[in-house]
Amino acid sequence: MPSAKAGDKSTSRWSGTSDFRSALVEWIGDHDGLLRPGYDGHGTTQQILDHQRRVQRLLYDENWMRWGWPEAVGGLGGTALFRAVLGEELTSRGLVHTAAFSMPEVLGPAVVHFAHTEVAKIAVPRMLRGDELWCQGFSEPDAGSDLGSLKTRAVEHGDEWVISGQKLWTSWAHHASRCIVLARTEEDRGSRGITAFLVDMDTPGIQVRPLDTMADVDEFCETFFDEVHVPAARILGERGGGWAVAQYILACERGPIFWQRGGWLLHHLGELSRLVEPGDDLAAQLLGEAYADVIALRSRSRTTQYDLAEGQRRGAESSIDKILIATADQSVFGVAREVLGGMVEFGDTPVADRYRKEWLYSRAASIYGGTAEIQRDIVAAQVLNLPRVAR
Amino acid sequence: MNADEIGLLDQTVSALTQQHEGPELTAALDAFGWREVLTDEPGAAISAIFGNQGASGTWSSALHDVLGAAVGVEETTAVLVPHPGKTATCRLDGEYITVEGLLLGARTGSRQTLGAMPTEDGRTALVRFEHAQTSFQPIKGLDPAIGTVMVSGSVDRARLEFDDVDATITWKAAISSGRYALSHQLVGTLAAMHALALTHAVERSQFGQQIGTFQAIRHRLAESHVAVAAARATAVGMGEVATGRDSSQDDRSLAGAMSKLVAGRSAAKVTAHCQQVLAGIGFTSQHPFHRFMKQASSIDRLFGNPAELSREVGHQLMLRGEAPRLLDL
Repeated sequence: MPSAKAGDKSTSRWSGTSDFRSALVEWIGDHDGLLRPGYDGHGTTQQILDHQRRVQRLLYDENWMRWGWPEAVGGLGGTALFRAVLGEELTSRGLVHTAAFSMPEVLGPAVVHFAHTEVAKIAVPRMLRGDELWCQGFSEPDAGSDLGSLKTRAVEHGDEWVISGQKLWTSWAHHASRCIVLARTEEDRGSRGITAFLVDMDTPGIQVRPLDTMADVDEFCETFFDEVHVPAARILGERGGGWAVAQYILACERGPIFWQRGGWLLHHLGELSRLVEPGDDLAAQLLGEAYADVIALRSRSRTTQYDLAEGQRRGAESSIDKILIATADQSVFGVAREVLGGMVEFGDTPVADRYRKEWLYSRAASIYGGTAEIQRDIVAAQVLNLPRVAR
Repeated sequence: MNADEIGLLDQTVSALTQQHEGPELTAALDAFGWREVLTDEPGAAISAIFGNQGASGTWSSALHDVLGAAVGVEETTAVLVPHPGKTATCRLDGEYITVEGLLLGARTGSRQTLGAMPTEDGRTALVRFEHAQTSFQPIKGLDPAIGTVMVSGSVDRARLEFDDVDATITWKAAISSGRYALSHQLVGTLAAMHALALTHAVERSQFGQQIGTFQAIRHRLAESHVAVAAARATAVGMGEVATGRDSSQDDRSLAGAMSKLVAGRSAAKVTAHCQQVLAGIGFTSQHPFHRFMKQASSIDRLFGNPAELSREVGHQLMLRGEAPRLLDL
């Protein structure tokens, strides 16, 4: 029997997240065949994204993907906790890959918040439905941790801006329809002279070159902008206010995404606990240690989810969540490598393939989205208010 | 209990733990009516009492009250705490029962002790002793403030009163509440150590600069802060599961273990970072650091150290074939 659509008027007022969750879990149970990835092993980027587009379309058409997003952009309203719950229920069953499923959460809220209403109204529903993938043009070859020193420039030209420069580590740029680009619009003003643009990736002058990584996952790209013309209406937020957009996006990265990534980590720990030899004391101890890191992350992240749902955006405090998730991520996949007895290094089965790639990818958890060192600098300066002078 | 009431409870207890310690603190808590709060609002009561005891480095009979409440005995009976490395306090040796357990600031008026003993068929029984049946040896140990007494002896099985021959679940629950309570006390001591190190980083200058300007120091303090925040959030989150009426028995027990495990893992980091930041002055007994460090290190051994707890939890995961979420939004 087909279950009621999540957005039908009869069920449109969830009494709370647990109500939402039980209906969602029942729906997932009824649609497992459609939601389960069709490939073995880790999957290529193409396979992961194709699968995710299918899942997102189904979720959007059945309304699950619309809860927690404002009605003005095709959502059905309600708390952002719905989005965190949806992500968790999918990743904790291994139905979507957490990295790819993070994209709507990284960039969606910023476009809702900062884009012109007309732009958001068209772009956001397409992104939620999986018709469009977006990417994030922040880092540059010479602007990593020191993002404020970015060199990509945008020059005003009538009612257009002309962007030139090079971005690095642009996830899924080769599959993306749009990109949020940070560009310098005023010289020598540091982080204050930066503006954010929502750029269509089919605009002439954009060239994308995928980067080979040690994790054998072709997610990251180098993206070149050669006199790319962008309408002024595509500015996100204020002219010169790009830093605020970037901060907003970084805060979003630490919201529902961390909750669903916690589900992803539990999914793998659960699988590992079934793969190890029963009674193995050393494996038990290692699994227990990794589980402790995940539970610490989830306990902390839960308070952040509630704050976000009430409209409180955490600034520097979110660096604590970021440090905890990098720790948990590396802990879980580090333990996987230990307990799988050489499978990661000397196996080619689908399970070995998955854990090899996840383990390799996890090595970057303390680098991407702000390095572990930058996070500690932020906590020291802005949370602990330690005096500044030397480095 | 609403947020205001919890705030008031915390304030009141904070004042008591700063003014009193040991039996005097126990008397002050009794006068305040802490055991009634423990019955009505176990989560709030435990976090307020133990968190504040940790923050002030004090100790009372509260741990025995929590254990007593979990097994359902009156205050004249003190529940024996397993020696570090052990999970029970009695064992069967033929016709005799060998007792070995700790009292950690038990009430001065107690007349009996209650021990937990594994039975031949793998269950746990609770056994009651008169004080005269065992010997008591005060232990100074690492942290004399805890008021440790080692209880030991060998008692004729026929002369013993069995409280409960199948108390497996009850004893599990007692261990879980002990772990939960001590995790809050650890959070308090860790926060106190962190605050001392932070003050020192601002007040102490070397090379003509406050040492808090040096990145090596800043990163240690940042990591220490993150470890305290993780332990606190986990103690609060796991407390909801450990004292929650809707939680399954297995989840409650797992939550108690997780609360203590995360606090223990944080304790190792915070203790090391803060000791290093405090450097010379922190090594002297004139500076208060050592009191918190000694208390944290002692508590860390009780009801399972991090290695033991990790192993126990890992076996749970392997038995269940999953890594339970424990927390939902």
